[in-house]
Amino acid sequence: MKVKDLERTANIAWSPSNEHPIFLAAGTAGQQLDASFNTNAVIEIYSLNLSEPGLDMEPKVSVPAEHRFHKLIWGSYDKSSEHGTIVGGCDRGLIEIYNVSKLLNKERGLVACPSKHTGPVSALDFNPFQSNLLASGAGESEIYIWDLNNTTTPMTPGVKSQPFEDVQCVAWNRQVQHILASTFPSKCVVWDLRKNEPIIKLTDTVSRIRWKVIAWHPEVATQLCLASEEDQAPVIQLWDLRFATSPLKTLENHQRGILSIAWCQQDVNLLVSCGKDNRILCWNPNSNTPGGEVLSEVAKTNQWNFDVTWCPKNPALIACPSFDGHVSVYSVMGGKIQQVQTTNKIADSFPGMDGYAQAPEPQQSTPASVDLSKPPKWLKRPIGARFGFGGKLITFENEGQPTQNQSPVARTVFVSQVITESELVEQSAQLEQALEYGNFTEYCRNKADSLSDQHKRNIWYFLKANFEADPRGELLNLLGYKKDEINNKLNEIVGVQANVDGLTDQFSNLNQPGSYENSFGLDQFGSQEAREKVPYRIKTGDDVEGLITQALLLGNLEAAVELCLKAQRFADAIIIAMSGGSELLARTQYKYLQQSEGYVSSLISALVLEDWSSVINNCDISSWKEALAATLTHSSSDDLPKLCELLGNRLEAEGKAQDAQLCYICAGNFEKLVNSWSKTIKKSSSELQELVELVTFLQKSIERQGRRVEITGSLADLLAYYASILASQGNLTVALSYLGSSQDQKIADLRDRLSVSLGYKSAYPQVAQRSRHSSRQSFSNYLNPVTPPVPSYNFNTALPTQPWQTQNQAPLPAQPFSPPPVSQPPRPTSVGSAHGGISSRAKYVVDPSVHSNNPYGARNQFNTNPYSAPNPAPVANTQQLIPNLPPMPQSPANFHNPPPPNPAAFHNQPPEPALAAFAPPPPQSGWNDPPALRRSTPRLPAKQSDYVQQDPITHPLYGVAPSQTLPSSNGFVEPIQSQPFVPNAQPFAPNAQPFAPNALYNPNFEPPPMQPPLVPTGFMPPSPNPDVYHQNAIPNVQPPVVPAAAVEAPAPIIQKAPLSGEQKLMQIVFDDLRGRCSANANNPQTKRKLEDVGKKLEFLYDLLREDKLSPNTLSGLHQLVQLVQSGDYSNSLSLHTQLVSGPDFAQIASFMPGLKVLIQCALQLQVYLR
Amino acid sequence: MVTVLNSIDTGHEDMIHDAETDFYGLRLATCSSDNSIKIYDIKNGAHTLLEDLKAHFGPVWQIAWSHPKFGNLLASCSYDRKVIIWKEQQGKWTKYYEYANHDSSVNSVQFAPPECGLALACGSSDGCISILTYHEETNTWDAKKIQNAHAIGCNAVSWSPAVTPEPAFDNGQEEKFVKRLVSGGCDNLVKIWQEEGDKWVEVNKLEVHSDWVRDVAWAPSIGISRHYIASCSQDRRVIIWTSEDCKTWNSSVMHTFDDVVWNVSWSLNGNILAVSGGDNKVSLWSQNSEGWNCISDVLKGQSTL
Repeated sequence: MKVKDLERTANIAWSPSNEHPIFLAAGTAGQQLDASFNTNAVIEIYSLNLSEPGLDMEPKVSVPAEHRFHKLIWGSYDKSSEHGTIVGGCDRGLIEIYNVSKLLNKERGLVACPSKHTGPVSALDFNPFQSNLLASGAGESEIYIWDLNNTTTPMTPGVKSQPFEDVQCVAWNRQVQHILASTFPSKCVVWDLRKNEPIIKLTDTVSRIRWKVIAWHPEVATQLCLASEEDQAPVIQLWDLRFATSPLKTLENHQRGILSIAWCQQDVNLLVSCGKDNRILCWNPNSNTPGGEVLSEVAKTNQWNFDVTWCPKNPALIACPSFDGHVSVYSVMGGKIQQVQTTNKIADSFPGMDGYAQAPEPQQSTPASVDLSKPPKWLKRPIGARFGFGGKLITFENEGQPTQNQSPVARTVFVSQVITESELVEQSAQLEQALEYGNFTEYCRNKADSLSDQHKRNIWYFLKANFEADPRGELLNLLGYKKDEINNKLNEIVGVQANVDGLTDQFSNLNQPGSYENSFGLDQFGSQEAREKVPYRIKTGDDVEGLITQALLLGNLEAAVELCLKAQRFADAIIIAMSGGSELLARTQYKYLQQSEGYVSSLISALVLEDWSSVINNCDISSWKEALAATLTHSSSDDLPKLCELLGNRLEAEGKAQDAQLCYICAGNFEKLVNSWSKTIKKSSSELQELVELVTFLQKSIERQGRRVEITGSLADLLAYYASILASQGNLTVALSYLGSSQDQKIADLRDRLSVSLGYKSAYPQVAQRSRHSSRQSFSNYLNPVTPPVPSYNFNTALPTQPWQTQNQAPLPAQPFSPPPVSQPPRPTSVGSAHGGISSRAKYVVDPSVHSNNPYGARNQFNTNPYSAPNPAPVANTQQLIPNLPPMPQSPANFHNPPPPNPAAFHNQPPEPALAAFAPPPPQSGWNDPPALRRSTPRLPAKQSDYVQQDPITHPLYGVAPSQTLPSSNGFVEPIQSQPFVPNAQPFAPNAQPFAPNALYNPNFEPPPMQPPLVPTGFMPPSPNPDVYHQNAIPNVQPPVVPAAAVEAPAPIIQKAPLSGEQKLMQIVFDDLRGRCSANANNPQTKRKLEDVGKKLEFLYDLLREDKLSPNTLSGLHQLVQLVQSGDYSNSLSLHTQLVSGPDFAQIASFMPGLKVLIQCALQLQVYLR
Repeated sequence: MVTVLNSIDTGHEDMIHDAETDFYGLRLATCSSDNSIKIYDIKNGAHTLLEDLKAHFGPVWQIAWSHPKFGNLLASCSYDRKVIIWKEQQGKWTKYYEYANHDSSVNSVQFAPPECGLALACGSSDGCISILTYHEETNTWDAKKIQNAHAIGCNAVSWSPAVTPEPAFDNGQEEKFVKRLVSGGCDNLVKIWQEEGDKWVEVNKLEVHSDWVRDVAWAPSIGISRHYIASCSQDRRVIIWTSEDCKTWNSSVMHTFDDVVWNVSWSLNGNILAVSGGDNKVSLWSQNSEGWNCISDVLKGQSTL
């Protein structure tokens, strides 16, 4: 592709390779006149100007020259300036030597002009090793070697070769500096300058060759190419001087004589040639193709190109001057020829020569892009390194070239792990450990003690306080308010002032309401006052007192208060107001506080109005600690975060970012904390680690307080960034654990990437694009921290919640850990024993999962209660449920049958006795959502209050004491578990279930006596929602758990209630696997384990039927099913671990251990579904 | 700190020119002067040849994996002037799309950040840059071509990480990301391009290198607003270009090496730059308060410091 063009008939020379930018020198050609017959000569320098589009080069300088040129070369030799030297060969044996720097300064620049030669000097070359050495050749076989430092006395390479001929070309060897080649029309002579004689003469005796140009092989010292300008033999021959009898290769493609060749210095496989056939060809001179391999025809022009040279610096470029008055620069890299209108100067000079001018036109339109058929070396990237996900570095190198001995070279790619933040990795590992062991307090203390920065110490102490038993107290302590000390002090002071008959000792008693009235002190007070009583007159004048008196007498308290206030008798006003009702009192307080001044009254005001924000907003900022202390003391747990944040904002606005951070810690506000912190730190990894530790612990503490931490905003950014750094160190698993289950897009994406990378999720599902996308999303929903040792940032911390205990606050409605069941006596055995115990039952109840999850040791006691489900007593509504059942006689228990009991109660309680303890009585669900029982972890205070609130609802409907309903929930445990043991009682079992729990509502349940007052029909309101019945029915059709003996035969699926498609699959897969496992199991122990698994699976199916599982869990389970189906047990297990360590643990605890055992067994027994 | 996890003898019959792992780091693709592309499963330090793709008729210079949300796509470019996008379906890789509208060697391909949709930039020795965009509605690809992006040839293209435009307008339903590219070529220039309307416009022409620009890499931005671009050149230098606003760029020479620099690659967090030189040396560089420092020399996948 033509890149640049110059409208000159000129000899040219590229600037040397060290020159930047690239210049092209052009000296008016002496070989031919141009169209204007102008004999003036100029030497010009152009900047190649590649960055500009278009064919024009930028003229830098144009200096008139004395003579026209036959050859131009540009060497880097330059004593005085950096641009080197241009040497031109002229007519009459003249050599002109220019200083380029001077030329570029538009000075004359001609530094020497020796004229030793005869005839036109058309051969010139600089020695590539000694830039001051120049070889020249002209007529009469004259060759001179010039030292540019001294141009007066050139040397000769040896005796002139005979016969005398014009020297066509001289060329220095590219490898050996004292070897020079020269061409004459009939021969090529190679000189050794050390010996000062020709060492070899090449002649071709066969063909009628006229040598024109020689080009040395750039790398192989003994090889050279010779080109013939003879039209009859337009060949290029490759010679090796070691075998100088005949050429190695002959390249034949030019149709007429070759005028020039040039060997690319940067790729030995490229040689360009131009000739009288107007073509410029690029060859691979090393190819073994007979006749030579033409890689491309670079251009076809209108006229002879009399020279061609590679650009030393830009290997893709060649320059070709031609006799049609153009110097063209071509790229050998192809590309579209740019159509450019060339003005034809010949036509301009010779009006009427249109025909001539137009003749070459058609040749201008070369359509196709021309590039080399084989890529040049400079395109072949020999080495590379790329980063991949997880801190992987992919490198490759291509050391050996196969060209030498054809032995295959190992083409190796290395995948390496790059670890640059070893410190961060280590610290994060320590953090992991701390989190795993859960001794947060200690870690905080150690951390704080290890720091020298006081602010950071404070921060860690504040964090530590959050883990203490009494966080607020600790925080106050840190703020300098030691509650006990100050209280003591206050008591002392108050005691001294009162100083009444040693009352001080009694003061503490005042705190105890019980002892209040009987307190000795008060009696004394009373008697004291009584003693001082003296008769008084009541005045009713119009003075203030009188008016007050009047108001009092008439009971106009408002007026009395108003009068007192006006008279500044505030104490009186308030005392009066106290008997005037709360509204009046509030008004009075308000008025008083409005009038009073001083910070104490501000505090009082805040206290009374419960408006601490006013203190925070209005106090002097230096009193922030006091404000914070007050807030900690007084505000409710709802308000505390807001207030602390408010204070933090203020501090930050005042430029006290550090103090603000403490407030944000108290507030548990991540967004603000992270933002504030990020502002003050540099972006170093150790500081990042510090912030992450801080945030992590804050998260933990907040979770302990039972608040949920949303990973969003800055916190999400921070954790995503931190995780990405961990990932970049190859710690993918740990990185994943920091991402929690946040829905933040960034986090979800990273989590997805990590889990696929870790193999937790299949990376390349063969699904359509759309659905694939959605599956990704649902995946990110359920995905949770994976590593078991990491207590992830969810809410499954095994530690009890510590609600903020505030002095002023009413106690929480329900005490989380004093549920009735614990204190409840065991159910009366009489009922149970009536139905007979089944001895083997205990084995089921003492389920590991149940056990481990059960904080109440007393549970077993209930469980073992042989209260039996197969109560034959039918229930009225059974008829509705199972119409084909024969009507049953009313059983005594019947009247106790509640409206549709909550199915959840049946199914969830066996695995979750702890939960059952809190469970609202079943009937509640008849009026509320059926799944209410399983709302969430029972630790959250809100849930407990739910229970309390709902309690009364059940109450009036049953006429059963609500408190008594609680222990009855234990009863639900029984029916299901006992069911398997009475398979033959199937028709009755369903009835028994609803019945059994009812019977338990009253611990003192004695069926017959209680029957009369209640009319059965009235007692069974039709369910407002038929679905409830339906759900109710589900457990009834539940198949019995396969007894040990029947393990070989899997439970018949037909009996099961229909599960929806996907869940059905889950059931089939798990049951199938269990069946196969137990078929393969040899030892009884394994079989027993698998039996157990069966039971656990039933729990799962029950939960599925009732839709009790969160979407997260469900999608996790489906994932698990897929993995199990594909036999990928190791990943199944890790997914299992991941699920178990997720936030839904409580929900899935009943069956997950079973699944684990199942998968382990399958793995052990090598049982696969396919 | 650089340790070999996996050393894969690819069995390529000629020079390897590129090797890249997919989004998850589970698969590796390599390409070579033997005209072939190989895909390996490199899970857990093992390596299994999954596929040997032979559809190019010239050396394959570069490969690029798409974001998995567009399916499993691999783009390759070759001296045969073609760009091929391969797609994996049912475990088989087949030609999904072929683009043959360059007039010379295609030297570089890179997929746009996923936020910008499925788009591929290709830089060619014909001096043009093509941007291929997939339209899901019509299931077609369209190509926009930047003519004469770099005289004599474009050697490398790299996308800017997705950056949301200034929140000047009300949040439209669809967030539009500014599409930007950096390219380097044989005109020694580094150029920044931006899509404006349906045209690609040259935003910056950065002229510091004194020889061919061999590679350019726009750093991923993780939590930093500043843009970083690394460029390396035949002039043996690596230059780091920085900008706050993507309008004005400052350059600083990271280092002048002993040999031509062929390749620069940022770590995914954008904090480490891997530099590969003609002297068969790979080195890792990172920035601290004083400037850029070599943190490791890597030879045969192993650090040598």
